[in-house]
Amino acid sequence: MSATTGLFVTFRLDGAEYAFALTDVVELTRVLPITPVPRTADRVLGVATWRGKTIAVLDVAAYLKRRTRTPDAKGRLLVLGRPDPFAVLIGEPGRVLRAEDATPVDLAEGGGPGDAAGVSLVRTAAGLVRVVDPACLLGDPHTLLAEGR
Amino acid sequence: MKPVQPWSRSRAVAVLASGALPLAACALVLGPSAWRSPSFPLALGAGLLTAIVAGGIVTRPLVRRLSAWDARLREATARLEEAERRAADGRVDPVAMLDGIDVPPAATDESMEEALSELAAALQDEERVRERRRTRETDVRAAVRASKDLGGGEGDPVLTRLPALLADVDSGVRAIREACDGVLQQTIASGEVSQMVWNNAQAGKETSARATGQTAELEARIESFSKLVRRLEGRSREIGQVLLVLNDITEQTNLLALNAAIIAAQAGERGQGFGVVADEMRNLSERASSSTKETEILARTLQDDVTKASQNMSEASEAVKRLRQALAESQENGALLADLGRKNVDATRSALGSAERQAADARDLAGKLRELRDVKERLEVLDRERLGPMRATLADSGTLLEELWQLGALRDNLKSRLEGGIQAIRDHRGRESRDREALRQRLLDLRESGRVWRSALEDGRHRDDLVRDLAREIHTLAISAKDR
Repeated sequence: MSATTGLFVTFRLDGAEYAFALTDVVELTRVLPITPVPRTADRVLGVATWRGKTIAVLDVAAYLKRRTRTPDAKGRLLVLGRPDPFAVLIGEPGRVLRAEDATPVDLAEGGGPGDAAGVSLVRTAAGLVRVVDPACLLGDPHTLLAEGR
Repeated sequence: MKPVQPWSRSRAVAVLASGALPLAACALVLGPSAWRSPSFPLALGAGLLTAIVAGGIVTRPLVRRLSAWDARLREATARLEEAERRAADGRVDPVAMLDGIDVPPAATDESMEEALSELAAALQDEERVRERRRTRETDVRAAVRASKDLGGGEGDPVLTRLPALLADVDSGVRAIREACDGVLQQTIASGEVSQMVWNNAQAGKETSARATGQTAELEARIESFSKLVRRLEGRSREIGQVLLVLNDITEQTNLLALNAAIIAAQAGERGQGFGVVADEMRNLSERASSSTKETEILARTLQDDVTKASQNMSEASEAVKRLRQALAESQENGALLADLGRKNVDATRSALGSAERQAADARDLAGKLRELRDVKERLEVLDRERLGPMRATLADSGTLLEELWQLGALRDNLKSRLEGGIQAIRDHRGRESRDREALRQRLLDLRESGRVWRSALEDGRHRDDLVRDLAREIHTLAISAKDR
């Protein structure tokens, strides 16, 4: 386990605190101009240009069945890079936390409201934090297109 | 043969007719109830006596003329009788006797008519005298009534009511004097109040003028302050814009600090120092964000306050404008009030003069009332000393008037009877005139017969027969004249 394995970047979404693993996070940035893409899944907001690259922009609130928000000036995008970078619209950005127990608990089955596949619980000094797996959030590109039909 | 006196009987008949005929007419009019009255014979006798006397008086000139004519007729009758006697003795000349007979002239009728006209004129004069007497009667009756009203009679006489009336007038005058005094006092008080109102109105007018000036100054200051507040509002908006920039910078710093923390965490142990810087940056960003938020709140509060102050200043400016307008109106009202106060003072002075005049009039009235009371006392003395006998005299006059009225009624009755008598005399005279005319005609015929007889006598034929016939005729004529 590397030194960064037990670190998470948190954010608040609809009153709940979520996190991504620090190893998945590339950059926290403002909301970029987003171009909508038709016939895609609901969580796909569109595409944006980040550092000269066209990246997909996803809405994690839609994925987690939380109340969505419009990507306005106060919104923030968290750029994740696995394997290709993509951005996730989050609510209020949090901080970098270190997990006390690095073993995540999968809540795909038996989780509460707002939980979805790829969400696990991690105990931190501030309490339990729901960690979202970017791979589950991104899914298969074909699936993203098929869901939009 | 006994001498015939036809006019004595005629006179009696006329007199009786002039009295008895109206009396009989009255009796017929009154009816059997009057005939059965116990006093009817007495009244009948009195009426007859009155009628006879009145008839005698009224018919005196007529009778005088009738007597003259009667004398001449009697003389003619005597001559006829003498002629008859001589004819019987055969030693008379009937024609000569006839020539000596004086035929009654027709002028006797004119004399009789003249006498009747004089009698009618006398009756008209009497009617005028009666009218004057009726007028006097009315005057005396009015005097009697006035005497009764003055206090001598029954009912509600003036002298009896006069004390009560004087007492009422006295109390009324006293009440008027008290009312005048009250009005005087109230007028004085009202005048003082009016003077105070006037003074206060003048002071209020000056105060309003000063307040108007101060209000204008206040309005200018408020306008200046409003401009200042509007500038402050602009500055506040500028502060808001600056705070937006600061907020943006803070967020950017926060973002930068978070990215630095991420990079530092990803750098592992080598990035620990950078992680400290990132933490400090993050703390700095949080403090800046907190301060920016506080400043933003303060700026928003300041902006709201400035906006409220601006609104309040606008409202204050409007209020000052309204106040100035109200002060202007108040100034006008104060001027009007002062004018009214001045007029009220003038009116109060006038009312004061009127009240004083009324009080003087009330005093004069009281003095006149005292004089009236003296007059009343003198009237009472006069009533006791003079009006009493006068009233008794008037009462006697009333009684006398009643008797006069009764006499007037008797006189009316007598007048109607007299007029009836005159009519009867006229009728009788008409009959006498006709008889006289017949007698004259007979005498003329007899004279013609005498001339015939004379010619026959001259002829010597039937002298004795003619004389006898003539004697018989003369005898018949004499008997007829005697009857008349």
